[in-house]
Amino acid sequence: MVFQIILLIMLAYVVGFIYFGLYRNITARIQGRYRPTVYQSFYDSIKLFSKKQSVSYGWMFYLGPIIMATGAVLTLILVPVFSDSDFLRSVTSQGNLFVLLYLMVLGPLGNALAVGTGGNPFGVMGVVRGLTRLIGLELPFYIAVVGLIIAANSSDIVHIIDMQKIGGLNIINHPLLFIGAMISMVGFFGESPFDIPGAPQEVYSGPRTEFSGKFLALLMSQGSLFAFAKLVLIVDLFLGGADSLEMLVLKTFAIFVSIIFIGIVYGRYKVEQAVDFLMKLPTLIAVLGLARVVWFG
Amino acid sequence: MDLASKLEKLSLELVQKNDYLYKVSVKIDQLESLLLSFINEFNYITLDSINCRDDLEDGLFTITYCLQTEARDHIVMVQTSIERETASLPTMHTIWPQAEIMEREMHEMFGVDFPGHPTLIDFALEYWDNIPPLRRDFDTLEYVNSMNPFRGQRTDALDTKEEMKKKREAKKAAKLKAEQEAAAKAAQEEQNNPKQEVSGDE
Amino acid sequence: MFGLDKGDKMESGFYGSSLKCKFEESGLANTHAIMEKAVRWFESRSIFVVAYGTGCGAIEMPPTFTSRYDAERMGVVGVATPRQADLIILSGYLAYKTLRRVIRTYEQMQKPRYIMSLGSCPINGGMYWDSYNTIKKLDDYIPVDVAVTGCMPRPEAVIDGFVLLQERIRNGEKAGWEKYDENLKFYKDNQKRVLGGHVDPAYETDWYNLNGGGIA
Ligand code: SF4
Repeated sequence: MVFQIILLIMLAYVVGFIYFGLYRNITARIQGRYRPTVYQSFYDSIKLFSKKQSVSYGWMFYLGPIIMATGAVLTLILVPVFSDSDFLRSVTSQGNLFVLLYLMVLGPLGNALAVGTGGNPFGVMGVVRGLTRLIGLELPFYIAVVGLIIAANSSDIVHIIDMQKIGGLNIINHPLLFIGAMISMVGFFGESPFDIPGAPQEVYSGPRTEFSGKFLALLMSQGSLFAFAKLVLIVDLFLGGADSLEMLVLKTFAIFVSIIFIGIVYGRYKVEQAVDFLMKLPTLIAVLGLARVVWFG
Repeated sequence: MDLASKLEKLSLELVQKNDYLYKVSVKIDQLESLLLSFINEFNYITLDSINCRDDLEDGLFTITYCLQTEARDHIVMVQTSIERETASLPTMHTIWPQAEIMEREMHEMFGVDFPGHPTLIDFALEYWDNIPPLRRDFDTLEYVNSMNPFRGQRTDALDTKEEMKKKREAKKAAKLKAEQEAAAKAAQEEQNNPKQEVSGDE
Repeated sequence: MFGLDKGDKMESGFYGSSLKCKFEESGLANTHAIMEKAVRWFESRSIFVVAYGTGCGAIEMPPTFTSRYDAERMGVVGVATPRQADLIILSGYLAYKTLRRVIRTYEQMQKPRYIMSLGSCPINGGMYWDSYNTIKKLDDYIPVDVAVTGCMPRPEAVIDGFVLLQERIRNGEKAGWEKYDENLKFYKDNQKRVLGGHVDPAYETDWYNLNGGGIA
């Protein structure tokens, strides 16, 4: 099982970084640039890990990225990656959607603790913006998840996948829930128009302002792991999971590309605008979807 | 009352520079009241700039206030002189807020003092402890040379004139050689097959 | 383009860099050397830049990094903070006031760190040679790794500078930050000479508290 976990983390690391490479590639092409290589994010990560110096502000500063990485890895392990195989089934059956939703907030909280120790005003500003945004992001996503739980009559992800095999994909059965969840997913990926915490021209790098070298590398790695976990979660919940590696890559990539396209096209919201928007449109859509589930099944 | 007559009453001379530009020279003790009357009576409400000129030979600073009308069609320059030694002026920041920063700059560049000015601190320079840099007794060149000497020459630098001369000569020699070669070649060809050209023409 | 060198050739100032690959001469002795070579290669392929627009040259930064010349294809990306950066680009003349900020920014960067200067002003004062408030030889105060000449260097020249820097990193040549550590006294003395006792700038917050903005 430990072997499987390591394998999974390595898979997520590679796929996550290649996705980020592709993300930079696609962005560059859309902006009319030549492009960096697909492996550019690898290069960055290895360079950052091999930096000779990384400034630190005490043990809490160390702990922050580690808490974030823990959250990412746990989320990754608890999400069922392959629907039919026994791959890590003994672990994934332990967790359910509620645990996952808790784990998804662990990262930002750990980050907030570390940034507070760093004391950089831009970092603190970024964290505050991030946590404010989180209020708006979670609402439609949680409502969508609650809708799925009611529809499947279970909070077990494996059960939700199995239900989709019988009754058709959730994206077709519950499109409103899917739209609501996807809009908040754009925010969870830190894409425009919800890229408020790290807004480059406003608060420099936001929470990452004070992180350098190894810390930044750890943050980048956990970011790509977490991105992969979130993609798999969406695939599990709405696209009926994946039973082979190819299907997994295909489905996650489809979701990823649609999120990128949304992110490239839009500009950035202000903090209040973003929360305002998230509380209104996606929440409304998700609530309608929920009502449909409750009354019409 | 129009501008000229008012100034005449104060025994000041209004010099017209062109259609829209006037100049008045006043004593320092008349300055403030004159500026106020320009605002209140003649609608010169905007302060464009405060300039300072260092008349080292006379031991004076010549200060010029440029005022503009509300309609932006006339400018009057109010000129006054102060002693270079004491160099003190009444502050105008209570009348025009923008004067605060202009006076701060003048304080930094010429060392003019403004009693009652709230923020006479560094403006563009930091921690400057020499003679104010725009005073004419401040020797800029000497200061620059003492603080920032020039970079020495490159050790592998070559003399441009000689190098160019060499280059030109080499070029000439190469050209000469090429000409000679071409001539020799032509001569040889002629020697080798003198009649082929003719036969080719036929 | 010249590589500025400090320490061993103090009087001669700067001289053209030799670009021959030292690596082929030495050969690979063991795995450690291979590892180091690999790391250096990754370092050269990923350079995070903080672009400090000190002078007129800042205007050439946007085309270098955006669609027209796209420095990202070589792994050169702009970042927002010196903590994450490997390279600081000083684009143009430096006033004393700027130099204070530059020194602080440079010392906040994490090793290995590099400096690139654009234009002739950081090399010999350029057209600001007789200014009472501008330094003439930047490499007296901080170690410049690559100095791109021109007034102003075009983005092609800047990219050429990036390529030179990458080659130097790849060959494991002695970088500016190592010289800075070794000759710290030399650099600090020079800094003190022009900046007086105030090598560090006052924090900007002090300035605001004093109502330094001035305009009411
Ligand atoms: S080298 Fe030219 S463009 Fe660059 S800072 Fe100096 S004057 Fe400006």
